[in-house]
Amino acid sequence: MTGAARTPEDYQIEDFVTDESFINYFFRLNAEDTGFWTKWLLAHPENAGLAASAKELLQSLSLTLPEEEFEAELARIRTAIHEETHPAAWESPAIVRLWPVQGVRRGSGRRRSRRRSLTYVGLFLLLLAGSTFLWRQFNAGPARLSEKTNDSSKPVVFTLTDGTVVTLAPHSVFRYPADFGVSDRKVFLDGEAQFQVSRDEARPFKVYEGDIMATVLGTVFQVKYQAADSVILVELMSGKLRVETIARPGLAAQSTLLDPDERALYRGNDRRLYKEKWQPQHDLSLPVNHLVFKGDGFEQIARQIKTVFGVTIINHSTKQNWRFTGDFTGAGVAEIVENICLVEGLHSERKGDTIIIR
Amino acid sequence: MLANTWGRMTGGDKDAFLALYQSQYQALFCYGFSLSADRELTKDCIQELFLEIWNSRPSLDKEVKNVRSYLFTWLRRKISRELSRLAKERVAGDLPEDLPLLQSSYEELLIAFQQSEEKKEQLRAALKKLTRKQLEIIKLKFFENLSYRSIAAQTALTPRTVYNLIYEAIRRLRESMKLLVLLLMI
Repeated sequence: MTGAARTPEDYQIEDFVTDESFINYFFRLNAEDTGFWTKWLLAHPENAGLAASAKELLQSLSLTLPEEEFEAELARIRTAIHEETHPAAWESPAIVRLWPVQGVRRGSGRRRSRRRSLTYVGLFLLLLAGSTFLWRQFNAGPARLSEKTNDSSKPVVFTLTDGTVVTLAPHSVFRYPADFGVSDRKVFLDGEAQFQVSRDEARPFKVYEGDIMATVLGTVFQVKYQAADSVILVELMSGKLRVETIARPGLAAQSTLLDPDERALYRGNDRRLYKEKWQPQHDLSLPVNHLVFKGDGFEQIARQIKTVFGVTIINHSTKQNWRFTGDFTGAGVAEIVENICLVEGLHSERKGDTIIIR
Repeated sequence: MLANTWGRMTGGDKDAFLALYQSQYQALFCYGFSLSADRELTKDCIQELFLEIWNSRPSLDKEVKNVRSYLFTWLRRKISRELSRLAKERVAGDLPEDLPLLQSSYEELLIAFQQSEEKKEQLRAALKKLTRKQLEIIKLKFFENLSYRSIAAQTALTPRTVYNLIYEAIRRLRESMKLLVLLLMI
């Protein structure tokens, strides 16, 4: 509907705003109206000011973001997804062992016979106020938590989608959301686990256990003081690690850099951070590799194999779209690749630490 | 076809993803803003939403029946959680997981959408000059994007009357916001 006798040349602001064709142009609803008004505006630059005011009014009434703001948001998402495709995930992962604090494990009552005294914990903490709230609040976009339970008496190894390798101790439960790795990496632990975290500063790796949340940023950790009589140990097994306490009023931040034969000790009593030499003990018996593929394509399989075995696999075959399902426990890389090739009708060739599939 | 774009996006097609973003953005923003009355929060939630979609695309259903509804639901949950989180930071104690979303009136949203206090005041004053009927019809036309005919059907008026009502309302708004419009034009 348009103003009775007026032609666009005589339009006032309200004529533009109420003209359905102009509204369609503004919302870009169809090509015809968009085309008409774009051409018309080019042909009538003297009306540009009125048309612009009309657009602004339409923006205000329809809660539409102005062009520049939208372009800025578009640029933002463009940058974000282009960055995403270059994760520096495979260089120098840090291996950190996480031990739960005695008494924090929720009502499991299981005695874990560990040689280590229970007042010592190897744990880096970032305790946020109301972290139990975080635990309850946590809810993935489409809310799903996948679970891995280790009911056996041996540790179990598996890899997460970001390449982090998890060694789950016996009688432990590990949970992670469906949107793991999307904007951050949150996992939930009930028990013990060792993590070989792939570095990604853009997506912090967070482990929740009981009332504690620990944040791993590749090889950088943040440690925050919490309970008054606790001792916190951070043990580094490989890579480099900086352990810090966070400054509080009246308490300056302390920081220490760890090498693999060192560990940081934070004493709750005097709130001091110490560094000491340490002999890594392999308390968890040699982890059994456990690789599970469920309809995984080549990329995913290659990634898992690379992380667990350090072997690169290249697919030079003409078959690029196959998917493989299989479950391997304690198998070596040669066996796994052979198996896959057998099923998919491919051949493999080993060259040093690279395997080529044809 | 939206379903087609979605399908290609889940397969990793970046162009499809960006096309999806561009085609759905304004609708999502409008919806999100109506829930939160917060420009920056809405923008940030939408960014997160699309980033999550992109990063989890292998595990997303390739054939979502109603893409728009799916996105809206996802955004709604996200905004609700974010608002809860912010409220929690201000208030000590227990709050329910999902705060009921503010039911802001259209007028309140229009004012909240303006970015400076001055503009907010001017708009507030301008809106006071409209009758309730005018405001209702403006909302149907510009916020819900109904045609004159649909509005007529809904309000038991003729399309012509609807048109005249809106015309008059816009004229009044335009006059009381004369200064506002000039400022925007600078």
